[in-house]
Amino acid sequence: MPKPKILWIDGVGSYAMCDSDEVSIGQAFPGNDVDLAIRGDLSRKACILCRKGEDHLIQAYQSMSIDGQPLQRPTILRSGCILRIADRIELRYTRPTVLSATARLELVSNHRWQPVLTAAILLGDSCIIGPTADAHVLCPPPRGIDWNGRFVWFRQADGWVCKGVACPGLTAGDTPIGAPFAIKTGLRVQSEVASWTLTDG
Amino acid sequence: MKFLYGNGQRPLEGYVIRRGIGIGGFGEVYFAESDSGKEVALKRIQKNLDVEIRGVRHCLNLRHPNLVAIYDIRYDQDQQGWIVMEFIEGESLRDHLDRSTDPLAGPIHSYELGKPERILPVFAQIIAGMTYLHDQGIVHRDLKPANIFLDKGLAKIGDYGLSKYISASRRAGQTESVGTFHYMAPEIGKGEYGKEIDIYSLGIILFEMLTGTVPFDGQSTQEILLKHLTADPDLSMLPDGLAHVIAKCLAKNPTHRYRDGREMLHDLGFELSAAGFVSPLVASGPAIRPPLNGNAPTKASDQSTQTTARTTARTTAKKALGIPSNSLSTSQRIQAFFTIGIDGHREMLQREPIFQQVRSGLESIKNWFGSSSSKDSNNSIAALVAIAVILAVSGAATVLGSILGAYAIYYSLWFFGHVTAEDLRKTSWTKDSSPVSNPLAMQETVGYPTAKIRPGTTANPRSPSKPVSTKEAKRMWKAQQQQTLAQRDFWSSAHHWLQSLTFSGLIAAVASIAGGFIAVSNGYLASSNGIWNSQALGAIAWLGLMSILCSWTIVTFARRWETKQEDSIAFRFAMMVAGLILGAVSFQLSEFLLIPWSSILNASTDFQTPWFGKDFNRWLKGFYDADRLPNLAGHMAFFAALMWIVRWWRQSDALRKKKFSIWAIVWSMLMAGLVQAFFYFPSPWCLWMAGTTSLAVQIASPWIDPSHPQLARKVSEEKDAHA
Repeated sequence: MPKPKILWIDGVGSYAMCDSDEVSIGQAFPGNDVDLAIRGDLSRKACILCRKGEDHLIQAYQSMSIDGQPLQRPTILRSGCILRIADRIELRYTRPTVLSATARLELVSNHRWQPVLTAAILLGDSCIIGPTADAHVLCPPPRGIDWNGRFVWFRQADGWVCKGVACPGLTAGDTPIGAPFAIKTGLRVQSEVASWTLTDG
Repeated sequence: MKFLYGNGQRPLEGYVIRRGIGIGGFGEVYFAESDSGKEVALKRIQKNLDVEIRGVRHCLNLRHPNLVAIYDIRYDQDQQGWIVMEFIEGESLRDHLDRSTDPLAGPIHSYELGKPERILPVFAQIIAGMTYLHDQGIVHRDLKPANIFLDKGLAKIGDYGLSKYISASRRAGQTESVGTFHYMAPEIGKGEYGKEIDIYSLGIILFEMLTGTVPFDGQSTQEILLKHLTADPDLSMLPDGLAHVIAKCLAKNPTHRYRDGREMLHDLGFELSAAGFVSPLVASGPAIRPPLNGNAPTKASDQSTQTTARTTARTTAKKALGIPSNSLSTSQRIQAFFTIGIDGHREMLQREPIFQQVRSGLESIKNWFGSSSSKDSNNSIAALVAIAVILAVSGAATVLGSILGAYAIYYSLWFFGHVTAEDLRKTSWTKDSSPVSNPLAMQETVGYPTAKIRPGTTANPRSPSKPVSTKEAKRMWKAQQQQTLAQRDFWSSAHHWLQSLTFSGLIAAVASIAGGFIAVSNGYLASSNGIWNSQALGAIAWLGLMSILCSWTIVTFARRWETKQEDSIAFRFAMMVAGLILGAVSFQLSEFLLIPWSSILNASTDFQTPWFGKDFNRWLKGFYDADRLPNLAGHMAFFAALMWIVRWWRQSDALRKKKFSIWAIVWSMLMAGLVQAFFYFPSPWCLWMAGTTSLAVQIASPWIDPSHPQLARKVSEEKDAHA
């Protein structure tokens, strides 16, 4: 199974864009083939997050709790809940907007992703990259610039397409872009307010 | 935000760029991975390469958990400099604070505004990092939230680009203006870059972490800089203990701030281990220290305990410091009388009823004359002295002396009965405006309640601030301007000097001729036939020439002293010596012009010194000839006394309060009258000469408007050029 692609946003951070229906989480060490690796004291494969329609279901392979309640069986995650793995590793699951099934998974405890990530995005059918609180990928504009636009990703049959809303000077691979464009790995997207690149994980 | 390099590029051998992190004043910063997988930050130096590289090289081998580690300095194929640094995954304190004050930004993780128990452990780490730098002899010089990074509970100071070694002998060696305006210590404008500027910046940062806003803000850089120079931060919303720490950090005088980070940490309830790690202060600390280690009482049930602790510690502090709480002992009152200084007595006089009445009356008179713009108490004092001199001249010296003596005794008694401990706390009476020198304020640091500012409080762009004492503001402004004036080259100084000489000479000449007309109209110079004669013209010539010489003398000394700290005793002595020479010239001039002072004076009045009567010459007869007119010694004594008694250089000082003051002229004439009363120098000529000199000196001397923020503009221009 291919690893999640990494979205590198200049001045903001890096995000694992998890596109598959199942996302595995485990310990980061060489050779461990999990989708999301955490540098911490957890199992090789601690749990799996499955997309079920508009929700995400979690299935644990080691002791886990959600908001302090031990996880006994596969459970649907709700926005804002805290997952605790092996008593020490804490993750927050967030659905910034009810209009999209896409969710964000952030490390809350003093641990790190491998490679360095700001968060993991569990992609639904769309994803918003912007400065507002309903964005899946929070992307504040450079200091001194007022920006209320956004990049909207939406899934199509043959892949992901991006549409820039109020993104001045938008270019994709040095070509000015006015209409939605297909997202490809290695393509550098730039504008006056944000620039990003999607790479293989 | 556009970066030069994108993901996957390899501008520097051995590293692959992943993404841009930020763009600072010196260049772009990237997150990159080495070929072996090491995560690093690469800083590409675009501007001031030499300055930055030099600063970084000094810090290359520093190791401290609260400093962003610098691994290496590398050059690419184009000889472009790159700094290889530790990559910090978290955000900068700047971003955190901005997010914390943005209600749309979502949950705040760790360091909520206004919660000292959360903020102080983080802030203590920043102090630890700064202290380590200072211990290594390095001043950061650009401490600000944007240069502080929060990484999973660790605070790290970064951006050593502007760091410089502390140089005890050349603290003012730098010419570039550095730092960020909101966090810039006031002495940076003078080119001083001691470690105190970092302490100052930390005070600003702590204030901002607690309240979400900076203490000195404004719509322009000039406004901000002027507030740094002249305004006190409004600390009323902060707990006493923290307000004390911030006030001490933000003292205008660098010597009044914390000497080092350890002292500051101690006051915040932390200490530094030998290895440089910060930890909460153990219980063996001083009793009066506030519990700032995160255990601030927050519940109502803790209030009684807190109050008891306050009272106990307060008593301890009083005993330790020897300061009674509500009243002062007799010995302290007497001591206060002699130690509070002129400003203190001036302030006490404002409350003394008789002085108030006299002052009020003088104000009324002044307003009646239409000069109500200035309400400075100096003018009142000048008017008081003027009345005293008039009384003295009119022969009422005994009465006046009795009145003043009685008032002095009354005031002393009144002072002893009314001075309080509260008065001694007033910062305007002490050189140190920080509460540190204030034992009674120190006791207020015992225990502090939970901060009154709550998370989510939005930043107030117009944070309130109150002015410091006028004296302090004026002193600082003057020091800044003197620095600027001292930077002039020789030719510029000489140009200003010659300009003043020429101008003052012309004015003195014109004023003397005008004085001659006045004299004629009053019959002082009329001969027996009522018209001008050659002797009268000679007297006018004497008046004009002596006024010019006096003006030139004053202007010359003033130009020389305008960049120096005023030393009244030394300056008066120099002026007195110059007065002796002027007196000799005056005598020779009188002889040369054959001025018959006796006939001229007889035409006006049979003036005699009132303080010594007609037998005045018993012990002063060496100064006069048989006709009771001054001889060489008399001339020299008069001019020496006149030059000594008036601080003339102030009237020519480019940094004087007002360009032209009629009071200065009146004062000069009154002082000349006072001297004349002793030496019986030909009057009113000596009064006119003093007045003419004062007039010429003031008009001809350059003047820098105190309301014009030249320093701020200069610093601003330098900053802009630097950017």
